Amino acid sequence: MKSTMGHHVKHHVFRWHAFGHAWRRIWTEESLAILLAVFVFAMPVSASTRFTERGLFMHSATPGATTKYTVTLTYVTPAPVGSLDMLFCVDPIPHHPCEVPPGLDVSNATLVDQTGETGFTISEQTTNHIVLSRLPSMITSGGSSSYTFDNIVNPTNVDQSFSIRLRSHSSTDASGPQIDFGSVKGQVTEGIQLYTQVPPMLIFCFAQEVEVGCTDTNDTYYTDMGELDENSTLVAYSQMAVGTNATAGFSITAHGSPPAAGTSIIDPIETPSPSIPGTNQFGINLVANSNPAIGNNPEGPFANAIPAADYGTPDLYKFVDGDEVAFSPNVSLMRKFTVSYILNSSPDLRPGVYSTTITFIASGRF
Amino acid sequence: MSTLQSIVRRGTSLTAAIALAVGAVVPAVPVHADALNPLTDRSLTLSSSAPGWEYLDGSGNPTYAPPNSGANGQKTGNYFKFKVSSTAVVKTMSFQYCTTSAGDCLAPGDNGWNSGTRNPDTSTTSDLNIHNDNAGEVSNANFGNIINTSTGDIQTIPGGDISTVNYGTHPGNNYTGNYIVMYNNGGTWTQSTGWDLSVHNVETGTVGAETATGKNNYIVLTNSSGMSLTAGQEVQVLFFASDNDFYITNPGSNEFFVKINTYNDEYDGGNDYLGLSDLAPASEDYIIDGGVTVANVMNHSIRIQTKVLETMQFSVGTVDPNMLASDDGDGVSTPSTLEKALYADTTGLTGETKHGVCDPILGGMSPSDPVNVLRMGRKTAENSLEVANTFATHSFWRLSSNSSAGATVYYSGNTLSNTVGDEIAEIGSTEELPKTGEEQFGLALANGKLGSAADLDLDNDASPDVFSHPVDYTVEATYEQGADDTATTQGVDDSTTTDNSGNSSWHSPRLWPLIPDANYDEGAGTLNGTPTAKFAFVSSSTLIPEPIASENSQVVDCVTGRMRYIANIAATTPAGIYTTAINYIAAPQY
Repeated sequence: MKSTMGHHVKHHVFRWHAFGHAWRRIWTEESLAILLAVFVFAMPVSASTRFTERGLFMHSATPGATTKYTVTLTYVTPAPVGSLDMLFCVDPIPHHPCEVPPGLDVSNATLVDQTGETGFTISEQTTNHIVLSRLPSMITSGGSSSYTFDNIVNPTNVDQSFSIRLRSHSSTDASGPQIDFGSVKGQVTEGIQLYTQVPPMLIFCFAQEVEVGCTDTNDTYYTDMGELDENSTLVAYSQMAVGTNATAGFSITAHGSPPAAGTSIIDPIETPSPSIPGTNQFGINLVANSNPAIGNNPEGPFANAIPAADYGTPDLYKFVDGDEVAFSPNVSLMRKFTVSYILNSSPDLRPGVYSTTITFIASGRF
Repeated sequence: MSTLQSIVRRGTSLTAAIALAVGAVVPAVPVHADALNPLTDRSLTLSSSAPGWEYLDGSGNPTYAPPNSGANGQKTGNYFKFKVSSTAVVKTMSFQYCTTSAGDCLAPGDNGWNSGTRNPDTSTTSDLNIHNDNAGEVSNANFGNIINTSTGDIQTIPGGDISTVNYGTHPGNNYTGNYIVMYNNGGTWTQSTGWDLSVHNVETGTVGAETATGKNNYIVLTNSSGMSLTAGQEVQVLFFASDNDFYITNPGSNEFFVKINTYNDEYDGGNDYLGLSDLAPASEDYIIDGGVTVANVMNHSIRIQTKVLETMQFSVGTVDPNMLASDDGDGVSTPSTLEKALYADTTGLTGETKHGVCDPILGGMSPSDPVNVLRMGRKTAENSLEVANTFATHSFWRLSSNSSAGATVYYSGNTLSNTVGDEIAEIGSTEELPKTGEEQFGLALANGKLGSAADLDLDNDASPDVFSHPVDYTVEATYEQGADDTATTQGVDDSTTTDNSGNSSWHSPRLWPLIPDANYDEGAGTLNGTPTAKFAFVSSSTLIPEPIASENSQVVDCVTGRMRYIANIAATTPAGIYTTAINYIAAPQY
């Protein structure tokens, strides 16, 4: 009997143990602790309070713009939160009918960042309504939480602010009693449009000699190159400086005809060629040469202003009416070019006074 | 002498009404007065008459219901005032809280019993209970700060260990101590120091018999030196509540009575001097005056609840209506400048439009103006910038919000650029003076520099407390233009002040309480010659708005920012039409 009794007791103990063990797999100590905490802390839920430190930061206030919104708030009531309801209305009063701010659209909003109380996803959204949901869990952060949404289309009415009515719930679908509530406000505004202009500017000077900044010239525009001789090359030079704030820079073209005496013309060099005494040649270039020794390379700080390719090789000369002889691809201020002129003659060149006028035109490409 | 004890024995079931009547007539009956040596002109003032279970403010939060406040019945202070009948040295005083004025003493409360056990306080019931954890006497050094020594009135409540946030009724001081004994010394209230406090349960019945609450209902103050009083002299005994050191929890309902006695010897628990049995019931051997009760009735606090909704009004524009005259037209055929600026259609207006206290900034001088468009540069040269001069323009924003945690205002935008992508260089995030011949685009608030002398007297003590950052409407001739160039004055028009006279909400346009960022606070000043104004700008604000003014502790009461923009170009600045749009963003924090 004693043995039976003991067995009976043991059997019951074992059954209770087994029963408890089975339930422990479901209701762990942690689960029970959470349940207890939920039970204890869920009680104050009925006394809903306002979120504190509520704010709305609109990344753009331009009416109708698609932008980001960051909503910040601090949960107050120590209760499990499963959802955060955001209703966009003109006024912040929770029980008023919601007038949708004209132009506002949050239906394509995406939750791109969250801090503090996290774990939320958008579970429901319409034009003016977003519900964030998560598994209900106790407020733990103790500090400010923020939720950043992208792809929100701003309202369009600049004359009135709009509100976001905020509510937290323990349910995951923003149903049931609210825990904390409150509103934030924002307003779109027209930006300030500023208009001004930077006037076009082209500085160009030309003479036998000029300063880089066109601050001075020697006012000499005529050169007597001397007597032609089949064995030597006549030379001359002139200078020009240029600068512009034209976005596409400048272009300098050379215009004129080759030296002529009546109907006798000294042929211009149509392709870049060296100076060959004894042949009829008229050409120019814009760099320093050794044959003959004449000219200088461009001077000045703006290296983007350069001679054109056919006029930029030492000891090679060319002259074609209307050719571009120098240019810059963009703003250039200032650059001085030295133009070298060569003149060769053949033995059978008809005697006479050969002369020409060469004109240079600088154009800004605004 | 017939003592309270004898009265108690004779009258075991006096009603409250009778007790009140007795309390009222006893001093007027000479026979009894002689017999009782009564304390006269006695009164008890409670810091709160709310039930002991009520300790929250109108919002249901403890924020505005700290100890000693009217909303807190759980942690109350009691202030006793009386005159003594006898000339004597008082060394001990007792204060016994009972449900009746005489006879057996049951401590007040409505918790009830359950099988011989007193129930705990609930959300609707409470027992009177005197909590003493570390009660201390207010030091004499602080006495004059707490008590008006001329009137005997309480000037401030000792802060003690009250930890509630510093709002409303919170004492907000570091004065420690929980009780004061003082007497009227020829018109000057003087503190009697050296009193020790102890609390006890002194009831006639027992908890088990359900005739006692078992709660502390008895305060003893004792002083080895004593307090020498003459007949008719006024005495006040003040008990202040704190969070933990000392407080009295009100009963949950009904009236209660406090029996006050004074004694000629000190109390030490009966070791060498008096013990509780010598005090209560009061012994004829030691009692001087007393046996008198006062009564108070518990009332629910009247909770007044209303809502102040979140508000925000933010306007950005180019014309401050405060600059416009309200009386420069006849209101119908010739609308005033203000009317034209405010209304797209002035037809039907019958009178002059008057200024409000916080009119929104306007988009232009008249409805036909392009909204919020500003031009910068030399007017006579199609608004062209020049290498040798700095040009400027200006706009305004105005924010009003009841956000209790202030607000921040940001700007967002790119620097000036032309249609092919050329840009005038931004100044950067660090403020700089204008530099002619060098590309610069910047903006700043023309609202006075940080650190300027205070000019705003917040507490009306004729001594300025803060710098208001007033709007500086100064325009630099030739080089600065604005949409408001044709305004009658570059400043607040007299009609604005006139229209708002008598309205306490009106104030001159200013930025305070917003405080400008240090790199955007020097927009006022000269631009050319010897420049003094400074500016900054970052184009990255297009994506990450840049704060220019902020405040985080109070509401934003109609603040106005005057934004000034400058541009300089270099000779190499590509030609073209340069534009930008600067947006302003206000983010209040409620």
